[in-house]
This record gives sequence, C-alpha cells and structure tokens, in this order.
Amino acid sequence: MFANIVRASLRSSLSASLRSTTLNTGAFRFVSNVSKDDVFARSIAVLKTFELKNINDEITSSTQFTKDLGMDSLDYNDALVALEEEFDVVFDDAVANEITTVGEAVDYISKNIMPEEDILDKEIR
Amino acid sequence: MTTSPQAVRSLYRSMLREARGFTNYNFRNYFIRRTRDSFRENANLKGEDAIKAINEAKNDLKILHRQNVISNMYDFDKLVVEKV
Repeated sequence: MFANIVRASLRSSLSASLRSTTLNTGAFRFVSNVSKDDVFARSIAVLKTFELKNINDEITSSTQFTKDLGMDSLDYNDALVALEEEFDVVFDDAVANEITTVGEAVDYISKNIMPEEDILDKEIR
Repeated sequence: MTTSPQAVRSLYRSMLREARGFTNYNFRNYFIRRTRDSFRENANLKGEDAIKAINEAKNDLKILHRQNVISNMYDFDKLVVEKV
C-alpha cells in the first residue's frame, strides 16, 4: 500500500517536473515579469542603505556611483553585491567591472532577474 | 599573479557574496564587516605587500566559502535584532 502511495507521488512529481521543462523549451529561461521601474525603485531603496554623499539628490538612471554618489570602488562594489542579494542575480565579472551608472546596473538586473518565487511556483504547478 | 584593480574588485565581491551567504546574523555581519575593513585597510598597499595581501584574501575566501557551507548546515535561532 505504501509502495503504491510512494509510486503515485513520484509519478505526480515527475510529471510536474516534466511539465515545467516543457514550459521552458524554446525559452530556456523564465521570462521575468518584474518591471524595470520596480527594479529601479528597489535598487534605490538598497542604495539608500549605504552612506551616500548627496543623500537628498534624486537618483536617476544616469547617476554615477563614483561621481554622483561619492562612492569609491570598494563602496560601489559593495553596493553591487547588495543589489545581487536583493534581486537574486549575480553580476558577471566582466559586466560588474564596466558598470558605472545606476541605470546600467538596473538594465543588467532586469535582463537577468528571475520571477518572484510565487509566480515561479504557479508556473510549475 | 595578477593584482589588477579588476581582479581585486572581483575578489572583494566574491568575499562579500560569501559573507552575505551566512544565515547566522552574527557570523554574517562579522564577516561582512571584516571583509570591508580589511580591504579598506589594505587599499593603498603597493608591490610585494599588495600581492601578499591579495593572496591572504584568496585564502580567506576559501575559508569563508568552507565555513559558509558548514555553518549553513546548522539552524540558528533568529536574534531579536533581526527581521523575521
């Protein structure tokens, strides 16, 4: 009897995983439905946790980490890692060394971000 | 042996990533603080000293990674200062 239950649950989980792979064929990656504005707003919230030079100035996508926010290279790499944690992405080394503005970071994040977990769950189910 | 700023920044990011991976509040904050402080302290080193510091940091990164994995095998209660 238990064997039957195990077999049935195995079958259902297997078919669920099969279904999720078929969902992804062609795309190879879940398409994010987090908008760029969301990413931008959340990025700013993360950046505000750091000590910034011009804390009252509005942060726009052309704001430069070093020039406008008064960060040195350690500070802004620190900020990049904080952003990685917030959005669950990892900046490629080559990309991270090139990023100078908030907009570039946001662009990279919105390209590479995974959808939020509950959405992901729903798709798999 | 490369001491290019890019390589050092990449090392710094890797160490912070590992440090942030600790689930335990005290470990996490200690390692983030220690990484930041040590890089800042060594920021103006040149030549041999810089290479020595970078090698030390690379070693620390390995230790950090190993301890991260080990530490996260255990469950710790949240501290009162943490968001649940």
